[in-house]
Amino acid sequence: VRDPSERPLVDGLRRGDPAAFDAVYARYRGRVHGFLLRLSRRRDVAEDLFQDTWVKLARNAHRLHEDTDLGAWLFRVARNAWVSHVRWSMLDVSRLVAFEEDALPAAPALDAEGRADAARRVGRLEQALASLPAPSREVLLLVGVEGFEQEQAAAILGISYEALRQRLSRARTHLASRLATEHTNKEAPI
Amino acid sequence: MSFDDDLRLLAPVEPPAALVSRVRRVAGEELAVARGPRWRVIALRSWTRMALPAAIALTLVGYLQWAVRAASALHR
Repeated sequence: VRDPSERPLVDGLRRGDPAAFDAVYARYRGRVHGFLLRLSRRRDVAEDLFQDTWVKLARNAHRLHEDTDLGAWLFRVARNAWVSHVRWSMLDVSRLVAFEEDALPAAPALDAEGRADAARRVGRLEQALASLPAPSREVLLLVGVEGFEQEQAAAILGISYEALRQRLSRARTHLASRLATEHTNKEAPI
Repeated sequence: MSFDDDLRLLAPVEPPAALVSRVRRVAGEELAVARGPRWRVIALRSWTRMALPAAIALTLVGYLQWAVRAASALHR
C-alpha cells in the first residue's frame, strides 16, 4: 500500500466491511469517474464502466492482497474495462457515434479575474486532451491528472517503464502541439 | 505555468447523485454475496456463469433441432 492510511481500508475490504467500501468509494469515486469520462469521452459509457469498476471491487474485495495499492488497483480495473469496451465497440457499429462535447466536465465557475483565466486554460486543456489519441490521453490522465508515479502508471497500463516514458513524452508533445495550434488559431486575424 | 501543472488543475468529476447511489447499492449487494458462506458464493457464481448459460444454450439447440425436424416432416 503506497498510502499508509489505506491499510485499514484494505483490511476492511478483505473482511467485506461495508464501511470500508463506503470510505474507499467516497475517496476515489470522483477520480475514477473523471478518469473514465475523459478517457471514453462519453457520459453513458463512463457511467457503465464506473459501475463495472466498483462492482469488481466489491466482488474481489476478499481477494485483495494486504498491501494492495487501492488507487492503482481501481484505475487498472477502470482502464481495462474501457479497453474491453473499445474492443466490443468495434463489433457494434451503433456505438460509433460522434464525440459528445457536453460529456466533458464544465470549466470552473468564473468568480474572479484570476479564476477566469484559469477556467479558460482548463477549458482549453480539456478540449485539447479530448482530441488526443487514446494512448496519449490515458497516459496523461494517469500521470498528469491523477498524479501516479511513472512506475505505477506503467503497471496500470501493463507496459514497461521505458515504454511508458516514451509514450508520455510523445503525449506531452502532442498536447503541447494541440494547445499551440489552438492558441495560434485564436490569435490569427479574421 | 506549464501544461503539466495545468493538468493538475483538471479536477475529479463527481458522478451524478443517482449514479452514486445506484452503484453503491449494486456493489453493496455484491459485497454481501462475497461476504456470505463460501458454498453460497460458489453456487451463485456457478449458476450465473455456467449452469444458466448452459441451460439457455441447450434449450436453444433443442428448439432448433425440433424446428428442423418439424420443417423436414412438413416438407416430406
